[in-house]
Amino acid sequence: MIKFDNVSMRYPQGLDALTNVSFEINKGEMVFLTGHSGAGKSTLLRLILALEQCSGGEVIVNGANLGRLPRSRIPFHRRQIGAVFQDHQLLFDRSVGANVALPLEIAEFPPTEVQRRVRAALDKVGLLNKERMLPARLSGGEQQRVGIARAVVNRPRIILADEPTGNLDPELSAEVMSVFEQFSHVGVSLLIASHDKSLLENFQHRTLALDHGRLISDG
Amino acid sequence: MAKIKQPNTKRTPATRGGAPSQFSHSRIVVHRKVASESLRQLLRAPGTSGLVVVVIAVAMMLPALLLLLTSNLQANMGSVEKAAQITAYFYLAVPDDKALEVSERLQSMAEVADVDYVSASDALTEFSQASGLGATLQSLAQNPLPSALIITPARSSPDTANTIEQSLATFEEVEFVQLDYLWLQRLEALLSLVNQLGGLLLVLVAIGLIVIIGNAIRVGVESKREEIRIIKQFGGADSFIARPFLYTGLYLGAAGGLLACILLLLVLSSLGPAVAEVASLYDSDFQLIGLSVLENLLLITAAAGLGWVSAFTSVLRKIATISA
Ligand SMILES: Nc1ncnc2c1ncn2[C@@H]1O[C@H](COP(=O)(O)OP(=O)(O)O)[C@@H](O)[C@H]1O
Ligand SMILES: [Mg+2]
Repeated sequence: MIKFDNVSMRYPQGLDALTNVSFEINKGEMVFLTGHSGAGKSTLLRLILALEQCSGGEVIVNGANLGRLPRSRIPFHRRQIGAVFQDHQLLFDRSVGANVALPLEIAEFPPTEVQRRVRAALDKVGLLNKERMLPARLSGGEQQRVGIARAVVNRPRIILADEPTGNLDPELSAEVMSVFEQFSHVGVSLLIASHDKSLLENFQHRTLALDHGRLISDG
Repeated sequence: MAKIKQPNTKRTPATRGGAPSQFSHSRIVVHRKVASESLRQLLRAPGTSGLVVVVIAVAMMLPALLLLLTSNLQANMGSVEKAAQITAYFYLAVPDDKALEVSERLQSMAEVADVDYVSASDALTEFSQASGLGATLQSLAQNPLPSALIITPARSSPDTANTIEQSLATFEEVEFVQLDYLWLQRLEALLSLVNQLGGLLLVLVAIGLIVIIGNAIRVGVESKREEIRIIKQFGGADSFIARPFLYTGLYLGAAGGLLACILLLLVLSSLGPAVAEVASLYDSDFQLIGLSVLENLLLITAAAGLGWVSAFTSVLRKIATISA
């Protein structure tokens, strides 16, 4: 599903964010990505979304080499992936429901189907009663869960989550993790970046550890 | 929390490349949703968009008014028929029967609508009545007035008048031909010049409007930069992002066109009485005729199209510069 082959990434300003990273994630696998702040976790996830281009090696997602993906195919590539961003990236001019609906609307689902799926996704994260509210009126933890609902609403084959439990108390974190685990049981591949030690200890999954852009352990 | 349903083993729009045909009927629904959403957004901020609409309306109205006036005048040249009449004066010695013969020959020409024979004695009677010099004229030994033909051409064009003049020159009975087409010719030339200017102005205005509407919409895109960035992160293609802005352009154009039609109507109806007065001085029943319903619809459609084109040419490029 996801394959990194000797990937290096250097930002234009000259910083090496990733150095010679190689790993592979299979269908239905749930993997943690850990490391200190600035280790390169977000950069790695952004490469998978083709939000950045790697400066060395190859990133292969769903069989497609992202380095050779034509510009016009990038939107289609991103639609296969459900993404949870560290800073939520919600649209503050529209309701919670409309935020969650975004991936479905991009994929031009019929409105009735959009509504059905949005409600199902909000129900999964316990926010069904907030559907019509504006995101600005939600707490940080609630905003994060809106982001999670939006990531899963399209039933993607891959889910990427950047610090998805950063703003959640242990109880809500556990619920979010169980939602993710259910997805992995039905064949979705997940890569979850987190430096939350207790989360990694409570949920035993394969863990990729980054240190200053290098992959230092995988297991 | 609810259980997860079996995942997408069947292919959904998200998992395949292009837009699936089975969803095409619902694309209309999707479009309608985008269309009504951008309309609502426009109505929510009527200030700035209202200003753009007024600019569009005024800019479109000016050339439209010019074209309307000149085409009105051109179409009404027929009503200044009298001015196009040709008068042929016979030599004094030409008798009535000879003159009538010429009259018949002229009448048979395709270019001639009507020939009126005014004999020398008729002319004298008319003149003495009109001048009030009845008794004095009666005392003259000889009628000083020639007989004449008043010829009304079939069409009031300079060409027609020319043809008639040339054939009149072939009759030796005719001493002198007087025609009034020269000023008509000048008027026509002037009108067609003004008309061309109106057309040119229309093109310039269209270009100006494309710039103005395009700019207004680019400002709108800029103000949604963050939103657009997020939509791109979730795989929104540029065309998807552009769609509401294209509708905005369409609405701005259509509203501007509608307002231009209303302004034209107001201007024409306020000019009406003054024009009728001038026309009556020329013995003409000339009237200003405004746009027909169809022409109004055409103007609004053209304005809407212009708005769409403006949005299309400016927005896609702008969106492409925003990176996710
Ligand atoms: N847009 C950027 N431009 C330049 N450097 C960046 C950019 N984003 C991240 N970096 C740098 O790349 C390194 C890895 O960052 P990041 O992937 O965000 O780490 P993490 O998510 O593990 O905290 C850091 O040193 C960071 O400063
Ligand atoms: Mg990070």
